[in-house]
Amino acid sequence: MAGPPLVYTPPNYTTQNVLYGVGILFTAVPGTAVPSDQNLGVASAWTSLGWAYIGATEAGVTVTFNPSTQDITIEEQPTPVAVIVSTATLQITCSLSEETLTNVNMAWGNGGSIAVTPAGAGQPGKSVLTLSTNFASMAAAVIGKNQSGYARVLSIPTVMSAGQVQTAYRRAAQQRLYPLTLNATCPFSQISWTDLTAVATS
Amino acid sequence: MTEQPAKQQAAPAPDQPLNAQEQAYLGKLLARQAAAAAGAGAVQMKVEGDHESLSYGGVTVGTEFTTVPAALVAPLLEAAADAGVTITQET
Repeated sequence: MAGPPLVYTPPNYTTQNVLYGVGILFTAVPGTAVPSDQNLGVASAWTSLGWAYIGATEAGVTVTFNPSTQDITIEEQPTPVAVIVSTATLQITCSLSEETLTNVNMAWGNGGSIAVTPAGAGQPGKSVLTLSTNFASMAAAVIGKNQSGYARVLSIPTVMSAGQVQTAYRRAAQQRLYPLTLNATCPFSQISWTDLTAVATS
Repeated sequence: MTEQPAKQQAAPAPDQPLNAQEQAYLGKLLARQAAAAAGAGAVQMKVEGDHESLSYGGVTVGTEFTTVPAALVAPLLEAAADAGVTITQET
């Protein structure tokens, strides 16, 4: 007599959790407040608090978490008995497509200053970016849309721009790009993801 | 924000690790402390002379007095000197 049938029932997956779409990167002076929960997805709420939008990018924004680990091993066991995080980096990278002095400065370490002179008699209006290697910290936030259609915000209180920047001046092949690399410099416990899940009840 | 620390039934042992809720709350406290430190000692500055504004580290100082976070005061003055911009600090 045969036993009960063998059943194969794989779990269901949720296609609504498969997300895509651009991330919006804002930067600000460290310590700048983020908008209230109600306004996390409202661009003007960010800019009114002093956050600056980086503008168009060549291929969107990339967030890279890269821990390096140290295996703790014993002779008696081939697999490690523990894996310890020795270093961990969190980077936000993108290629800035809007060539403004603000973006050039940000890609080049955010250490320069921009002095603006208005037009006057015999004096054309001008902006001068004076470079420096005293890189300034920033706060950064990446905003994307979650599966509910609301904002999901990655907030990093302090980052520093430090990456190789190479810009090609081409006749027609592509726009001038400024690769931006923002490295988190705060404890991981200060970095947060905030996910809006439902509207307020009143 | 009116968040309260993680509710605890009894005082945890000193060697007991933080739970997820406590860690999240600690992170917010540290961020608040950093923000408060950044705000403390802020000064008012404005540009003078031929210039209209000077931007450094995300802060733009115009011809009207603008609040500059304490951490940016010294580097902004240095940047102004490098750029040949006259900065006045409110006393």
